[in-house]
Amino acid sequence: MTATDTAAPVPSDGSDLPETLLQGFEESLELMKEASPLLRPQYVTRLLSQVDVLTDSPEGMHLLRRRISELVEGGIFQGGPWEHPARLVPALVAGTLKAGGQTTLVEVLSELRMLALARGEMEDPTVSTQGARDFLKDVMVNALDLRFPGHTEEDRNLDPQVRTKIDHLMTVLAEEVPLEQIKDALATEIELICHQRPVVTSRALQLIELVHDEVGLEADGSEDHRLQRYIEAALAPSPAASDRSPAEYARFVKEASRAELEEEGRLLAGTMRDTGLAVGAHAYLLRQVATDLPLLELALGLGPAGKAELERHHELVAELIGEVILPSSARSVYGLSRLLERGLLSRQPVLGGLRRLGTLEPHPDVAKAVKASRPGSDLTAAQLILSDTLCVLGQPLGVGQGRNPTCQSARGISLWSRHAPGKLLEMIRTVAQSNELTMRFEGQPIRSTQVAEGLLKEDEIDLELDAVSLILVPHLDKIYNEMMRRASNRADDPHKWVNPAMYGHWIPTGFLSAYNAVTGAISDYDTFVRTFYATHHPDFNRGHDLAYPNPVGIFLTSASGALIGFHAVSIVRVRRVDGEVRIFLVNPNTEGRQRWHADISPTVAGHGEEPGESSLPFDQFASRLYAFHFNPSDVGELDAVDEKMVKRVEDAARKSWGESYRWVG
Amino acid sequence: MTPETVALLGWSLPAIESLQKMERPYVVVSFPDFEPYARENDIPFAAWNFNDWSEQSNALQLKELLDPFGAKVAVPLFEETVEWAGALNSLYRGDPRLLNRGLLFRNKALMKRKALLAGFRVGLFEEVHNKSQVHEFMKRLNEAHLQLPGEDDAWVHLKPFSAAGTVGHKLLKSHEAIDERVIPEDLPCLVESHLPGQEFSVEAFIHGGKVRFMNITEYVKLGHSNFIPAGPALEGQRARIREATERLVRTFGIEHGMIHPEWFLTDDDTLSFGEVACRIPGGHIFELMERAYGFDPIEGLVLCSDPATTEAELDALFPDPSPEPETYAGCVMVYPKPGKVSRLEIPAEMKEDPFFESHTLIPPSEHKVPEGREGFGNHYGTVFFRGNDPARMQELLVHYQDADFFA
Repeated sequence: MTATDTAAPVPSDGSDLPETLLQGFEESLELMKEASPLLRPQYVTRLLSQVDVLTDSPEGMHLLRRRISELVEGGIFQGGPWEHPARLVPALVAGTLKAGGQTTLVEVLSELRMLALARGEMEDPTVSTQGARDFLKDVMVNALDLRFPGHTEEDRNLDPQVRTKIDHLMTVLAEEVPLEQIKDALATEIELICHQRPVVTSRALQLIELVHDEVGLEADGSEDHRLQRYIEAALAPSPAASDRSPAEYARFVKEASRAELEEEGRLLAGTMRDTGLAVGAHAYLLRQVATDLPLLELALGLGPAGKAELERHHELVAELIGEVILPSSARSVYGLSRLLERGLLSRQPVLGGLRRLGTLEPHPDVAKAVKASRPGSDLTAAQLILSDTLCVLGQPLGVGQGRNPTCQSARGISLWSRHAPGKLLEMIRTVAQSNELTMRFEGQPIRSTQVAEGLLKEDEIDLELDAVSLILVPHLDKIYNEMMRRASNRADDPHKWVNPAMYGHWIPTGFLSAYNAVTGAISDYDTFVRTFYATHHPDFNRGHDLAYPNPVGIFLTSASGALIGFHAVSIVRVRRVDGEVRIFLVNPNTEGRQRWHADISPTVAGHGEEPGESSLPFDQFASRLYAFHFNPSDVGELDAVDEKMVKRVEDAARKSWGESYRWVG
Repeated sequence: MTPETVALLGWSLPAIESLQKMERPYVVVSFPDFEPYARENDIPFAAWNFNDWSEQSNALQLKELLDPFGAKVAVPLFEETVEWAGALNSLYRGDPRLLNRGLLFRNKALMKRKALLAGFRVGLFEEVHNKSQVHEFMKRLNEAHLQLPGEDDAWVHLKPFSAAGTVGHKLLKSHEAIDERVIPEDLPCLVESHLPGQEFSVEAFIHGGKVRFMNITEYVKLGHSNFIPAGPALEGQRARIREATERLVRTFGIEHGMIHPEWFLTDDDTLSFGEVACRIPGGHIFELMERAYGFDPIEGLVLCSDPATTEAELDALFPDPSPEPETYAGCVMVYPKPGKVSRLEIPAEMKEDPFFESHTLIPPSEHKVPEGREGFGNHYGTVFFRGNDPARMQELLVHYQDADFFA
């Protein structure tokens, strides 16, 4: 255990709290307990004003911890989003705690309830002791920055009163979940984030830094080893880099011998290949060896295809490195290496597009937005756009939507990066230059600056995005929204027309939706499922692979099965893994492990997933599907599809999202 | 003996809850909008539009509507229901004068005249029908004050004839203010002279024509802050205040129920009558009373409204006011300052104060507070204090009544 983990002994009888407060708390609690459901909300408000005071002190927090079961039984959570502990999501806790006001207070109480459940001091039929313990562990992993404040800009801007409450809560929780116990979960979290090779690596780097600063690692634990590997990749990719400050390392590589540079290249490329993380040292080394082909090959860790590509375009690559690769854009070292492996520079539109982007003069509003998203970066907006373009082109499956409701746009960027990189570069340049984008829908141009707001509200964009997404998404979102508007009120799901117009005309012409837009019901679901199997399942489609990713729509349901909304993902491929047919997909949600339903959680590793892919068994995926595209000429005998398979999918669908709909046919 | 069914006139969740706790049969009479909610929650309910009075919609019809519920006692909860309760009780008790008393409480000019006849000191007042009459009234007051050129005008209060508490109340401090602030919708109305001094209210629970319990509420700032029981200065005058209140009860001929008169103790130590209402008082007074005395004032109101209530029942409920109270309960009603508000900010030193008890402030969804609100309108929430020292209570209320809780 580390020193920070030892909680000071705290009097838990609340004796140091003001008498009026204690008396008022008891009275409000009593009133709330006795209140009819009609009046309860008014007592809850009062009680929360006392919870507000109590959570300001360790004594008060302990008092609440001891009394939490009474608060729960008295109905403090009743009728609100926190009512059912089984439906809560650990990943959302940190954000809610920081929200301030009543939200923070109720979230604090919710954790205290989970703590009581974990200790067996309270019981809930839907959450086991172990379930509550796992929940708290997940919270601690996700909220590690809250437990150890001061590491992020966001944290430094936190309201001091909220900060105090979170500190007291974390102290109480730390007694139940010492850091020792979450090393395993932390290691898994970091491994799985990195395995997905996201473009934006700040979350992984921040976690690693926290582990390094706050978690005492030992030489012999297996979790400690797993964590150590990432700490080295992020903070000490070579012995030379670990001993030196960034400035000293920059001097070191300037003066280093060829042998030393070779050694650095080997080591740094090794950690980068291994983890997908590139940091300041990578950037300095790359700048140093940019013009030296053998050393550059080494430092980028290229395979045969990448080497051949680099030899052909060395001059341009050296130029790009000189222009945009600096410590604050270090992640593009990895992006560049992937870009070379993909052989993209040998495509004329990409080569030309990147050259033009290099001379770009961004629109003032675009420049402002990009600079605002990367506080502290010494790069210009043009440099940031170009360096992140390298990442987006190199890691198409690493593009994420951040916390924005823009899965459609993120999916588009990812798809174009894979299949239309030249078109994507054109879009980046257009928007960067003019802060406007025009796309065609059924022959009519749609200009992003002349249509209404989409799902993304102005000024509400989450900045945890790469610079390419940051500038493109607001325009794509509006255009997509406008296309949906123009295609609505037709006899079928608007996506049938919008997806090909938005993403590209390689999307096949067949389209089926489980939902009948005219009747508002789920109709002929049997044919829907059979068609999906007949065109996508290797047992029924003669084993053909997808030519292009298939942009499909899925239902997301809560743990209890209730429909919570729709989501856009792309099917990338279908494979048999250990006798089980699985669908491999790209989820634009930055986190591929997003839970789709109580027992449907895609995996990002362990079943042959490529970095950035997630996968699910075929039938589980089918049971979430609500619309897909297909090539009509591929549809074979629908009756050949196994009746039992269809039935299983339908049962799962009816029992979850299906309850929100009428079913016919 | 089963107690009589009470007709609660007006929709009040705390009142409903009190009746449920008392296990007293009741029926809520209120606007049809509340009916679905009442049905959902098994609340006996009769839909009635209090604003509609006609040959097809009068107390006889209302009584018929309530007969199936077995109602025998009507209790008014809000200003608008006072005359309906008077009319119903007239029918229940066969006493037509009860209705007139109900009307008396609804007309501020009428009640002042009645008080004047009974020998109470009241301010100078007049009923006005247009703006020039308001100017005339101020002019006459100025003359009475022997105003010299350049001296300030006399203050004039403008009040609608029949509105609850401070609703529609305007304090006019000059002729210019009359021109600027009096609008056609205010007229006709009552204007009266300003009485400087300490304002307070009395909550008197009356049964069989006798005052059974009397609370004094000290107003720190009218419509903004008050506390219970009143501090020593006012409580020291309890005998006088009780005597005046009993005279008021006699004059108004009140047998059963509760009245909520407002009085002034002027600088020359004279007690003046402000106005009187016959409904649940505003300003969280009932809640504060419950905290300070430990009984449910709604229960008191219901018991006092029912002629069949026994002496034993009354004795069991009402405590004797202590000469040295240990608990003072006070509150500040918070109004946002005009302008844009988006965030709630609770001062840390308030939360830490030993007198702080709780608050009901919730963050506003971002919106603009209209400029130039008249009267006091709806407040945004309340801060409750409790403690043993009336002087400190007074100090806290004065401090926080002007604090800004919204940013």
